[in-house]
Amino acid sequence: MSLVDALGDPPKHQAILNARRRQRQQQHRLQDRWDQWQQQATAVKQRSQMRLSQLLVQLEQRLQQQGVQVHWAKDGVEHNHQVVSLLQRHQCQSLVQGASRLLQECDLAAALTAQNISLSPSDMAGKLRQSGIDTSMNSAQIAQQLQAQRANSTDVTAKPAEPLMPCPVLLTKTLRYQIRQQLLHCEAVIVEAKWAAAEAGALVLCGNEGDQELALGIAPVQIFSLALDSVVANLTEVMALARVYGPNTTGQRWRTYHSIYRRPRPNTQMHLIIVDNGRSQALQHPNLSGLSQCIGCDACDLHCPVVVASTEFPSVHQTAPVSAALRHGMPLPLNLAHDKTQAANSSISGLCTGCGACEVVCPTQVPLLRAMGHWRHQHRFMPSPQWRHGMRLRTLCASPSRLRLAGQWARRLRRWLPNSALTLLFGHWGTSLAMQQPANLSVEQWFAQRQTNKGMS
Amino acid sequence: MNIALLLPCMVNHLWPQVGIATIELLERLGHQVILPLQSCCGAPLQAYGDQRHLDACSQQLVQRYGSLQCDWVVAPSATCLLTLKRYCQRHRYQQRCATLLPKLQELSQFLHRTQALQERRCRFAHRIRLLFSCHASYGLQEEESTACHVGQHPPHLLHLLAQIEGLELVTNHVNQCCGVAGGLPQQHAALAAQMARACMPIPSQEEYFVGIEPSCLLHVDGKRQQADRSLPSTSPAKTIHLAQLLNWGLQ
Repeated sequence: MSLVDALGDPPKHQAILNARRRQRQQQHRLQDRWDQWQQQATAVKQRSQMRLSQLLVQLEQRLQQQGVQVHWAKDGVEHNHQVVSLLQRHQCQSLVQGASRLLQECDLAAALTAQNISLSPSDMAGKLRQSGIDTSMNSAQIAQQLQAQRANSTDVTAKPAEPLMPCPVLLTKTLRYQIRQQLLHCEAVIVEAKWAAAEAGALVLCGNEGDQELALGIAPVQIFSLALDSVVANLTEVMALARVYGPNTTGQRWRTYHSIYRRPRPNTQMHLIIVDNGRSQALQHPNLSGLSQCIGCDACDLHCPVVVASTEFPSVHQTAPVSAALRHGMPLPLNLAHDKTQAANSSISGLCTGCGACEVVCPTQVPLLRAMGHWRHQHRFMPSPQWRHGMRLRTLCASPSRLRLAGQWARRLRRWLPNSALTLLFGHWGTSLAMQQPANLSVEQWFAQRQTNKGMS
Repeated sequence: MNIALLLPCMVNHLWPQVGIATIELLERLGHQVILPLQSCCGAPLQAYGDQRHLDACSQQLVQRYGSLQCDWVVAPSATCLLTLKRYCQRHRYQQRCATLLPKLQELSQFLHRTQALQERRCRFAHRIRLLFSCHASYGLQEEESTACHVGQHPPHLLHLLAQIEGLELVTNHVNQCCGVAGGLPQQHAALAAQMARACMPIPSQEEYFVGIEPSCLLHVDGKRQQADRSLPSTSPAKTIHLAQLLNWGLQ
């Protein structure tokens, strides 16, 4: 089955996604030393975490020696303020933005809109999102939406001569052409540095499209944002992380582009903003300190069984429980672009089944279930159906005698009531229980009776 | 050997056939079974972030099982065992937890470790499909030397099944969570049902669905039989726990 054949058919499209998951798993198995690489990457992150303050100081000194201006931001608001003031200082009216989870976390787009600064994404998913298109859809649906937008557009020049084909290759070519036209005239660019090597004073970018690298080669003002916990000692350690990042993100051996930036180009300005945004506090928290080991490969999301099963639930797909826990796991109230209400958070935390698949695939062994437990603990008093069920369970589980009594009544009811009533009483268990043979005694009662009979004989 | 049995509440009260089969199996293998007062391990509370009550439940069990004179503590459920194990790991500096931790074994792990089927003839000449258990595959594999990949059954379980005569194991294409844990069926019932249906093909030609996790078995079985009722031509397979399979096989 070709990809183009599958585009109009969501189940087939899902089958292709599953094939991609298998491809990634196969990549793990093909690499004989995968477990060793995984351990090395974890060790690198743990080592960096232990001497983070030292590495940050070293990085700042090295970059300043090389002509880079280093700034610090305690949260997203401060980061955005610094970006805006940098743009104003250099009299830039527009900004090109590379694909970045950190910039999304800081909600840079909203801050720039408030200041009337136009923002152009350099990645295709960002470009689509900016056009108001849901990127979780398949290519056929995306093409359809783009087509509808163009048909409604009053700008005659924007309408293409030929209709957009629901083919990912053509769609990619069209979007890439549009993006690169904008890059040619960019005044400033902001990208997220994936990692930084303190000893070398180097910022590392990692990607597949190469558009942000193009923009960095053109723009006279280059701004790099770096998460506080993304600093490692040297480039060898960066390679240890990049080695597990590629196979885990897309199933590739390596990502297509790994670019190292150390100093500004002649007659240009290079800035680095190091963002904390709750990370330093999380590092001190026993349940959340492990989150800084995350390298953002999204393998946990892709292998989460809830996400795999939620093809018919787009809202669930958008809020994968594990990545939500990662994003919301910080102790500070973060200024998140996708911020949810407390009740919604409680609902998302209820999606995790705690199966542990995310921890198995994680290349840096982030204790995700511990973070999820902490997150759930924070939302334990939220009034929701789940919470009420939890209260009933707590009453039962806390006392063995109450549990025994409930079990006794459940067994009696199973004998007396019809199967339909069981479903009402026991919820989702009812259907299953109705299929099993009813029992008169619990195992404890059966065992005690047998022991008595043995004693008598 | 003296074996203290740890039963899931679901098995103890509502599906006692599994508990009885476990006791009979262990006795058939020549072990002395002890069944102390049973209480909840607190696993369901984990889904609601109720760490305080979860710890209280686990502590009750640690006090009860830690004071028993037994060689092993065996459970026919990986979830309950994992909950207790995690509590013991967090409190390993306590005397009782330190004593109890190495004794905790899931039933299939215990049977593999003691090479229970090595010198005994176990025959079960049927086609079976093995239901995936996340907690047995991911949670209890920490101390195993072999690394576990996503969707792979624990190697010890496959080794155990390979020792059964006449058994034909059908490979499952989807080995993933069935969606029963974490309060998912309460809050997102449709999603949990979809996950359960994905675990078992309908209609299927197998005679038995076998698993090592009673709650997963009941959940998947319910959803499968619901779907089977709409397909009357298919023959409904029986859902059994590994303990029941081995107990019948050794007879």
